[in-house]
Amino acid sequence: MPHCQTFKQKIKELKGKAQNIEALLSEYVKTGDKKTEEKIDSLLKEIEKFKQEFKTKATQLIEKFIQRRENKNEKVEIIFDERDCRFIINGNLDFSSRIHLNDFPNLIKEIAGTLRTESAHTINLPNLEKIGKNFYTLFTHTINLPNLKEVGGNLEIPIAQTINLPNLEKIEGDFIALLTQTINLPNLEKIGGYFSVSNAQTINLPNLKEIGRDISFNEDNSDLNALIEVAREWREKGILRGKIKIFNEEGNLVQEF
Amino acid sequence: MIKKVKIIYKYMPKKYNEKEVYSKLLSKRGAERHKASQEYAREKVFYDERLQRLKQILEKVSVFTPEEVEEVEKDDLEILSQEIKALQEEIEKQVSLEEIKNLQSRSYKRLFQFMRERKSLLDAQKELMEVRKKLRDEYQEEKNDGRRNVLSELISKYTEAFKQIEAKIKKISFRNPESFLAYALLELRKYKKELPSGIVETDYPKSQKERAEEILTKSRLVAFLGETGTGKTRLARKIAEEMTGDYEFVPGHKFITAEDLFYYRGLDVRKISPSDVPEIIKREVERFRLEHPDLSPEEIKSWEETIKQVVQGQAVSKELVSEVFLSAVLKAANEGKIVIIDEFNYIPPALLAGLNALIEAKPDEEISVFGQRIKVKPGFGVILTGNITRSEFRGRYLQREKIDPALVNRLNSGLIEYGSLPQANMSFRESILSQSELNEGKQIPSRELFQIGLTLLADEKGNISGPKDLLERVWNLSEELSLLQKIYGGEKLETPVKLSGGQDVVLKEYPISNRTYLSILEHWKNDNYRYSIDWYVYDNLIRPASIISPSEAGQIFSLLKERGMFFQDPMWGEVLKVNPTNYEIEGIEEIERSRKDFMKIQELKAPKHYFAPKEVAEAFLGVEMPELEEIEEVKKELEDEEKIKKYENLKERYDNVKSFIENLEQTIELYCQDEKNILRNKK
Repeated sequence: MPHCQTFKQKIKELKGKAQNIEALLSEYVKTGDKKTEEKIDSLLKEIEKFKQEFKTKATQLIEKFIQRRENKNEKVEIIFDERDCRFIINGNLDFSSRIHLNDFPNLIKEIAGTLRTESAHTINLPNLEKIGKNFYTLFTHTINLPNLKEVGGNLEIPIAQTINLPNLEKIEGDFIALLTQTINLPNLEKIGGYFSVSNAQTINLPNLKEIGRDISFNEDNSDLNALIEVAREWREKGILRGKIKIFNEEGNLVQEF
Repeated sequence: MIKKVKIIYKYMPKKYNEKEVYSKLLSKRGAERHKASQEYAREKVFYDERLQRLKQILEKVSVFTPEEVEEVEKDDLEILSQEIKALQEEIEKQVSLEEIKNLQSRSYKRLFQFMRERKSLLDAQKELMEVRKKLRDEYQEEKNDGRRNVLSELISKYTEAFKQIEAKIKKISFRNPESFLAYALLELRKYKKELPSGIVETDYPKSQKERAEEILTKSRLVAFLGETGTGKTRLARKIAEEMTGDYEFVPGHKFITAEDLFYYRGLDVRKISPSDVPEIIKREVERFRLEHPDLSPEEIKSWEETIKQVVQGQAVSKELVSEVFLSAVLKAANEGKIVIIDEFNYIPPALLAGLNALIEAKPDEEISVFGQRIKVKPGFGVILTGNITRSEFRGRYLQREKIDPALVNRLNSGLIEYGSLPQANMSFRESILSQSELNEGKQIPSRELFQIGLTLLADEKGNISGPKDLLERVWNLSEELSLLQKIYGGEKLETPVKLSGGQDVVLKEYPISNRTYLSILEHWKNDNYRYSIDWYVYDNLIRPASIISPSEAGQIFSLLKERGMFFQDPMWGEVLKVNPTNYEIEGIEEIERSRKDFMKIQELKAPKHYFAPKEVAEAFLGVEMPELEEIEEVKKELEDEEKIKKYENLKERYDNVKSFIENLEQTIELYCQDEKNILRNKK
């Protein structure tokens, strides 16, 4: 049963009432009048009730979505953040067999665990800001995560055409982007672990300040020498803390420095 | 109208100037403390008897005039007693005894409040430290990267909290005169206790220590870089002691071998039959080859011969059995301890590369180092110290010696420069901020070298007495020696220093360390400030420097003289001359031939001054003492309080829903989209 319309009707009414509260509060400071106090109290109760109702309905909605995950045996908690009325999912979400992931709730701002998809053609998570652990996706054509700022674990996106995460600032773990042509992470500052790339034609990381461990490229990279040059420069500047490793197609280490 | 509940501070109407009386009381308390410590000193050294004996000797040799003998007789204690008496009389002229009592009791109340608050903050800090230690141990034992990240974040949070408490202690210390004096004095005493260990934990060493501990926990390797005499090794020892208690120490030198650092094979002798000799020789030769792959065939051949001879010589009836003994580094790894490798810049880089595997190993992982299997226990860490600056490290050491790049990578994050102690370059008076300047957010001029100097000069109670300009002279010395240290260590100077002829000062051979600074002050103090400090600067700096490098001694002398704080007595310029072409100092021999006469010229005649605790505290902390504010609490109006509670409750509830209301449209819009998507998908 949809609630959208009911909620929308209620909005105008509540907005006007909230403005009243502010005026009443400043009056109460001056007078300390009992009646004013009661009036404020009743208005607040009404808003609090609506907030509670919204919380319940929104939680139910998210629950419906969460139920479609593959890892149903794992416990997942839905947490409501009072400050911005958004939700945090505490647990892992696995949508391995979904072809499209475009019904991901806008109200979710954070997944405290791991997010996993496989063979999803489109991934659309417009309001997700943080993934607490790993983000793994395979064979993805379009990835749309315009607001993602932080990945607490590894970011593994093997076999994607383009990785474009305009607001991503931090990857605490490894960043693995195999067989990906374009990597555009204009705001990324930190890769806490390994950085592994193969077959990349364009890599744009203008704000990178730290790669915690090794960097590895595939021998087949069309412009391997240029990549090595960049990696060397990173090391000179103290950005890269580990080694530079080159692997061949079989995955064997052929060069290291 | 609701009045906000406030504690109102105001001055009580008084017929006398309370602040003035109070400051006199403080001076009196200071003088009393000096007297007490003097009495103590007298008890200890049988001052009276010594004075009597001295008087007898003086009379016999009759060098002094009778007036001068009289002067000696008037000892410090008497001066102090007079001072206290005079102050007491002055106070009593202004206020009654009852009022003095009131004033004192309020003063003590403030003092106790500070001490209690400080104690609870220190307790909290101690607890934080203990938990952090536990977390660090756990971190080192943890093999899972994810969990390590969680622990690492927690550790950082604890460190942050620790710093916040430290700032809080400073904040409550500047609240009133009592807390200000108590804080300065307690810090001074803490430093005094640390001084004999050679490392006083002023802000700079403390922050570098914290940094090193953090890095050691996370990546096991730290390298302190800096010039001789900055105290790197002592700091390293302190860190190792605090982190693992017991630790290993290796002094670095050019001829150090893998045996000294990692392990060695000791030969044991047992009985054997002569028929086994060829087999044993073969085995030993094979082992030698494996262990020394870098030797040339000729060298190997000559060693083989030696081994043959040794085995045959010993094997008439005995067998050599070799056994592995762990040296410092592997011992530390095996036992989960810290190993300090001092002056690592002298150690061949190929040997240092042996550290790589150890540093990288997971806790309890078994790895191989130069052919020896070893399990790396949690707690293991390496502290390198090098008499080398960062730029030298990059330019000279890395290029020429071709240190293993893997080790360089690990070193990058663990490189800590350890330079001279922070010390501002400005006049003593300017260096003490007023309370209003402090409140405006002005930074206290750095004074860590000066603080150590004061620590050395103060007695256990924090009292200082000496020439009237003592604090200023010590400040000037700190300023000048800090400058020389910076020049010697190649540190960046705010304003470049040149001699009057326009030449740069170049100091490379004679190290100017904190030891030089302390020895000047120590000798001055031990002579009871009898001669000008110039003499001690000459005797502990210029003279020894002239032996090592006459041209550096000449430059130091010229610089100190030209900057106008030392050697201003024309006598110095007459005796000590600097050669204008090679800057070599001349005239030292002349002084040395008649030291006594020169010392006599430098004798200070002025009577000694007793520095009030206020003066010492202000100099030590770099801030003027806060003024006394008389407080009186006004009764709270009960009715108002109740109303305020109600108001605050309503306001809080409103604040809770405010952002919800403000973002209502957007939130509902998101909800509607979600509802549409999810319900549609269901169908």
